Amino acid sequence: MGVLSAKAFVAPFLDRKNLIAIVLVAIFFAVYRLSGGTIETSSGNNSKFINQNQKPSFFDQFSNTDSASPVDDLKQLDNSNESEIAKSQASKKPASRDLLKEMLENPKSTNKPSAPSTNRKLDDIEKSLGLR
Amino acid sequence: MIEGKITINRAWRSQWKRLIVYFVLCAASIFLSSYFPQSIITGKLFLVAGKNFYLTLPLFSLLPLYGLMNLVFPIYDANFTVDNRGMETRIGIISLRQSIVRVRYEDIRSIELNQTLLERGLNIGALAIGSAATSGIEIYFDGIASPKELQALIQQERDLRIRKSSSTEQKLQAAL
Repeated sequence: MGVLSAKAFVAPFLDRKNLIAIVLVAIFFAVYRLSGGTIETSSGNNSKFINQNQKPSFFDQFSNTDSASPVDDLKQLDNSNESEIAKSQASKKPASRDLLKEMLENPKSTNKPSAPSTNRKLDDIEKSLGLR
Repeated sequence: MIEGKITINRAWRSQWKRLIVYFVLCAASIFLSSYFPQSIITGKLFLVAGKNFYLTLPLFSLLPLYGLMNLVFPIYDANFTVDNRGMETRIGIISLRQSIVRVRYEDIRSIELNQTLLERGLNIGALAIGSAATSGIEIYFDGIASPKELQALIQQERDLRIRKSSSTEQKLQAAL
């Protein structure tokens, strides 16, 4: 009889007690994998190891959303698309701005530029008529 | 007469409470690991033949591991052996402290069977064997499958030995 016999390999699976233990350990391993556990290898260099299973934390998610300002978005985009971006920004601005709200909130600021212009026109007319 | 040796372990179904706890902990591990990704830690294990082994360990997976150990431990830690001379219990096989109790059939005073309602449904129970040497219970083995059959077997062996010993006594008395 050889050192390695088929019986020795099959024996654990024939006993019900051991078979159930094997099944339970297999379930544990499945749970370990589903929880995000891995055993990985990399040849020599530590920097080669990239953990793909590690999910981003909640903090990272929030920090990413905070940093993703429109300016950062523009920086990330290609330079060749600058004109398109400018167009899109321009088209976005009127839609995003609520002019009625702005006028109601700052009636002076909206009227200020119009008042000097009318005064200037009156001055011009008065000068042309020789009243001044 | 019992030929050879019968080895009995605790039945898996006798650990039904621990089995439920194990599956609950498995589900909790998966849920908590996805809810708290910070609990998944990574580290270098060892270097073998120029290859680094890295382990990513979800800390919550230690919960089902504890449940598994708690479940498997009582099954492998004790066994009950019946042979043609008597019976033996070994408790603490994978523990630091082990106790082995052996009782001959001739010394058996009582064989008790303890079962709850659920255990009767699952056909499991505990056997308590008292010997003539002590007033209390000598051997107590719980979580045995088909305990009634085992009780009947031990009782039968005991009766056979007592009958044999009484017949030899009678023969001796007759010879004298």
